[in-house]
Parts: sequence; C-alpha cells; structure tokens
Amino acid sequence: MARKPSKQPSETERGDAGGGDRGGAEAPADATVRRHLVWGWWSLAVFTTLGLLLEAAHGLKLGWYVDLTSATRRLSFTLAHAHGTLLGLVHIAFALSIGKVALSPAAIARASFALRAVTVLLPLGFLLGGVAFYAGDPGLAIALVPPSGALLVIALVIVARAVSSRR
Amino acid sequence: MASFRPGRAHWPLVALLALTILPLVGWVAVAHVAGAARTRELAASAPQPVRPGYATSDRCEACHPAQYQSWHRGYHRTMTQYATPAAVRGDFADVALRDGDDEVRLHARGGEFFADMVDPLWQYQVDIGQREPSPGEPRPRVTRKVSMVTGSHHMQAYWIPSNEGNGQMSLPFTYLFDDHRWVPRGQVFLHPPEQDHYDEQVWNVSCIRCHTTAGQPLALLPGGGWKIESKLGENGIACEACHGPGEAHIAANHNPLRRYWLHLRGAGDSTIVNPARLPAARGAEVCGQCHSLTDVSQDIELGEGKTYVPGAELEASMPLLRPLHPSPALARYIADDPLYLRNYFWADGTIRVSSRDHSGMVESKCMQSGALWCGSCHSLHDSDPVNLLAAGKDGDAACTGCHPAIAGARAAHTHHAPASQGSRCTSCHMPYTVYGLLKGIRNHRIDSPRISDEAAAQAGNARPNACNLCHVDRSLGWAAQQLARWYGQPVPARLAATAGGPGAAITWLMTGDAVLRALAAWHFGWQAAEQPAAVSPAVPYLVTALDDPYAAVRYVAGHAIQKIMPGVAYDYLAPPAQRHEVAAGILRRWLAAHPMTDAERQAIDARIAELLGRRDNTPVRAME
Repeated sequence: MARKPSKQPSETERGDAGGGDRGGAEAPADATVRRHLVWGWWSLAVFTTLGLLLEAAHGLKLGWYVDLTSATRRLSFTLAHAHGTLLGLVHIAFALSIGKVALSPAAIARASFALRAVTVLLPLGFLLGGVAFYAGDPGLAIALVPPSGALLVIALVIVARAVSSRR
Repeated sequence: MASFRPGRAHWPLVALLALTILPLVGWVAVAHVAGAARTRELAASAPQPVRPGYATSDRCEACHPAQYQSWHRGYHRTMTQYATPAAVRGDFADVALRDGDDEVRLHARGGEFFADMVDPLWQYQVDIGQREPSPGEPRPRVTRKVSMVTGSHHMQAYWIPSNEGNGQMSLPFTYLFDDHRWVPRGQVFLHPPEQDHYDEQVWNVSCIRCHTTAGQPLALLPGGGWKIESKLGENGIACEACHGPGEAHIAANHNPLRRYWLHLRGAGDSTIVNPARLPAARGAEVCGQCHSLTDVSQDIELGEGKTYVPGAELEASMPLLRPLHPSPALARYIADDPLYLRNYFWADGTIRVSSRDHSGMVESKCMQSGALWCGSCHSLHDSDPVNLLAAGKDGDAACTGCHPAIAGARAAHTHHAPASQGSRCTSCHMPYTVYGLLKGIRNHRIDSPRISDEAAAQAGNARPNACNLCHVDRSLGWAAQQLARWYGQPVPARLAATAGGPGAAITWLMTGDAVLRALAAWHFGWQAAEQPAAVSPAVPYLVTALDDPYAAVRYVAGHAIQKIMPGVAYDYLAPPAQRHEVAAGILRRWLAAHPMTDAERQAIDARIAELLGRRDNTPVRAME
C-alpha cells in the first residue's frame, strides 16, 4: 500500500543520507525504510506461517516430516523457519535504524541489498536442502547458505560500524 | 534512549529468573556429577569402549540419524549392556533362587542391582582345579553389584565383577522373558544332564568376541603373560561391528566438500565399509564373523581378540569349519572332541544350532552361485527388529525375485494350495531344522526336501525333512513317495512300501538324539494352530517327552502341549515326582477328550516303550 509522501520531512526521516528531492517524490531513505518494513513484516508473516505449518506437521505426525528418517529434513525446515523469521526482525530493526545512525547512502544501499538477498537465499537454501537430502547432509541447495551467511555478516557489520560511529 | 539497568524496579524479574534457572543449573550439575561418578565406577568394574580407531555409535548418529535409529531399536545393540534400570528386565525384587545347594539372593536398590551368592571366582577356581578347598571349608559368599547384562530379546543373563581386573562372571541364573521366571543357567541350554553346564562362565573370554564390537578379551603384557583387562570398541553389536572402525571415516568427513563429492558420485567411501557394496560372499562374511562356526585361534580367544575387520576375507583369520569341506582345522577339533560334529551339525553336514546361519547359507546353491548374501533378505536398517527381514522380504518375494518362473506357476511347483503354508518358499526350502533359544529356527541352508538313505534309517542325528515337519502325522514313506511322484526323487529302498505307518515326527520325538527330539517336539506346538486334528494324537508321546532326561527337551515338549491343550500347567524344572504327577494329569485330561479302548491304549504304550528303547542317547550339547 503506497504511503502519501510527507510535505515536510523531519530531520529524522531524512537522516544523514537524506537529500535530493525532498518535496514531491519519496526520499530515498524513506523508500529504503519503507522497503525494509515491507520485507520485515512480510518475512515475519511468511516464515511464521511456515512455522505454523511445521507445527501442524508435528501435530498430524506426517511421516515425511516426523519419521526418524526425516531428521535432516526436519532440521533444515526448522532452520528455514527460524532464519526467515529472525531476518524479518532484522529488516524491521534496520528500517528503524536508518534515520538514527550515520549510514552513507552507499552503505545503506549495500546493507539493504545484502539483507534482501539473505532473506531470499538463506531460508531457500535450508528449505530446498530439506526437500531432497543425503542421510545426515542436506541437499545441494544448502550451498546457498554459506554465501548468504556471509552477506548477512556484511550487512550487520555495515550497520554495526555506523551505529558505533561518533559522527 | 532508555536502557535497561538492573535495579530495584527489576528485582522481581531477576528473582524470577534466578528461581527458574538456578534449580535447573543445579539439577543438570548434580545429574552430570552423578553420571560421571557412575561412569568411573563402571569403568573400574566392567570393560569400557576405549579401543583406538573405534569411534562408537554416538558419533555416527549426527551424520546417519536414520541408520542410527533403526539400529538403536534392534536387538544387536542390546546384546550386551551395562546393568542400568533401562537394561535389566529380570525380577530383582528381593528374590531368592535355589538350584540344588546353590542359593542366590537378588535385590535392587537405588537403580542398582545386587546378587548375594557364592563367590563365582572361588567356585570357578575350584571347578578348574586351581583351588582345593579344605574339607568342611564353607563356600565364601559375596554381595556384588550386577555390572553387565547379555540379551534383551528372549532371555537375559547377568554378570558380576570377579574383582580380578575387569573380569565378569556369570550369575548362575538366567531370566526367561516369555516365562517370566528365573531358571538355572544350565537349564537354558540343551546339554547332557549328566554333565555340568559351565555355570561360572567368564564373560571376557566366552562372550566378548561376538557380543560386543571389537572386543579385546585380555591385555597381553610386554614381558609375556596377560591380565584380565578387556577393552571394547563398544558394548553390544554396534555400527563398527559391521562397518569397521570409524575414527578415520569421521576425521575424513569433517570436510563438507568431500562429503558432497561422495554424495554426487554415488560411490562408496573408502574410509568405511558398507557390506551392501561388497561382493556377495564377502558381504555375507561380515555377518558370518559371528553367525558361523569358525576356527578361533587362542590369540583371538584369549589374547588381542579378532583381527578380522569388515570387508576383509574371513577365511584369512577365522576359517569356516565345514564338514562338507573338511579341513585340517576341523580335523583338529574332531580329534579334541569326537562328538564335535554332532554338537553342531546334522549327519549330512548341515548346521543345526542357532546363531550359525552363515554356516548354513554357505552350503546353499543360491549362495554358491554368487547371487545370495544375507542382505538379500535381511536388513539391519530397513526391517522389523525381530527377524530383521527387509521390507518386502517377509514373504515369497525374497525368493521369487530370482525365481520368477516358479512364482508364475506356484501351484504346479508346490503341489499345495497357493495360499497355504505349503506354498510358502521357506516352508519347504528353509524349514525349522535349527535348534536354539529353546525353540526351532529356520535353517539357512536353502535346499529342497530330500529323504536320504540315512534319514530313511531314522538315524538319531539325520536331518528331518520339511514335509514331515509340517505333516507331523504322516510317515517318512509317505513323504518319500510324494517327493518321488512330484519331483522324481528316488525312494529309499527301505521306504518303498511304507506309505502308511506311524508319523515320522513322533518317531523323531521318541528315538532321535536330544536336538532332534527337541525340534520334533517344537513342531507339534508349531503345527497346533494349523492342523489341530493331526497333532492331538501326539499328546501321549509328548507327555512321555515331559520326562526326557534333557531339560531343554522337556521345556519344548511342555510348551508344545500347552499349545495343543491350552491351560495346561507344567514346570520342566520341578522335581521328577511332581513332573510325573503333572504328566499323568495331562494324559488323563487328554484321554477324557479322546476316549479309546484298553487295547488301543495298550498299543500306544507298547509303541512308546518300543520307540524309547531305540532312543539315541548320544550325549549332545547344542552349541548355540
């Protein structure tokens, strides 16, 4: 749902990275905040739903999920749910941090991209890794997880450095 | 920005957390300390898994959870366990057991199990002549904690520390699960009544080889000599018993790239053995290391233990002893014990005692053709834990995969109704001609029913044929003529004109050696559900078997009667007079239901007397 642009954006809304056209179109920082709020809440919605489905699988004792032979699938799906949900919270925290910390537009762009990529790739790696797996090892899609994890660390370090900055 | 500072405002929360967490931490710490103390205590009293190169199954679980779980629910794992409340199934509720002048008192306290008994090491030393008790010297009694248990399926034996190294000596009683009772250890096995069963067994040399993983019986000392300091790869038969030592495999596969490379290639991992990937005969040897009769050297039995590891050639370290393929090693065993063959084999060289299934299978054409190995029908990981039959292999499918033509013409091949037991492949080709665990067990020498001249002569250790084990009321001549008519087999001369006559199974029950008598008795109980009319006439003969000199035969005969005449009570260990009284009562009850003339009854009595006169009294010990 589109938000009506503010006529008089506050300093907080503009943030250090604010600028450009502050009158008509949405400011880049505002757009980023909005984008991550959208990603955050949707991630929470999607991955909480996934969690609910997994709990239902437990409740209904679905063999493909609760059988002893499905231990790797169960762990992979659980990790997909947990990571997706937590990443939703990270998106919201990032959105709320943008106006309050000394992030350059470039840093915001890098962190934003990394977070969005992670939110897709990390849970996807776990999910697909649990669909077809090798005994104690998840399927090949698990290869998405290490680079996704690295991207997440990059994004977090960018924000952490900005939060630590005295400027 | 407001921040959280511990202070007065938060003290209820802090207190709540402390109240929740501290007891938990305390509970975990106490459990950990108690567990560590118990482990130290066990290490001092019972052999522990400390052999280098062996990782133990706990470390296999992370990467092979399904295989771990399927193994975990099976009976191989629990073949030997430490005596924990979860493992012990015998009744230790202040029980007093007596066998002759031996009394054993059992009790449990605080999750531990105790036996008060004659010092087994003292008794053992007396038995083997190492100690000469002075006249009138009382036998010393000890109260010891039960340290280990053997078995979890049919029966359970117990071990207590000998206090010599980590030696384990047997409790002289075994607990039978189905009967819910303790019985003297010697009355669990089929052995000559006039011979003592080795009541004081030393676990470290008699059980460790096959009831643990990579057990090392004794520690050899550098300057020569040995001490009882057994070491294990793991207690029970665990992953590494069949897959080989796993430490190197685990180390190599810490590398995920290596693992995924192996997954993608679909090839085996050279750091571990998968019996299913071995050539059929070599794969079967993995099971055969314990499930066959082999030449066991003194180094193996009393030294460093087996040198065989899965994947190696079994013959190289433990050659099979096969009467059908005589070897110098077998000749040595026979020279040591002239009855050696009879204790293990039928007269035709077929194995007849349990847990030696590989010895039967190697004599089968199916295996000799290279097509068959244990995994053709069994699976440790995809099966019911009782028979370990792989999914889909619990019926004829195990055979018809290789014999599709027979599957397509079943009635023509079997000459029995397709849905009947007579049309099941195993009924004819794998009859219950192995004795063990107080019952009949399928023989793994897969062959066709035949009646040899030797069998026709009703020799006491001639292998019984499958036909007469089902058709317990039919004669040997009847079976021979059926086999001649259906399959063109020659009829032994002495049976040429004897299609009628007494049932062969009754003759085996009365005249066979103890193993044959036990198996014949078991078959009457087995057939009780299938053909009650055919088995009921055998009751007078089974009642006679209730007085068999072998306790194991009496046990099996008693259970067969209980199948035929539900509600009958019989104690195979009761004093003879009491047994006779019960047997007479059973016979009276049967006669009431099967009225007969005096002449008919006298004819049966005369036949029993005649058959008993021909009983094969060769002293037999079924070496299961």
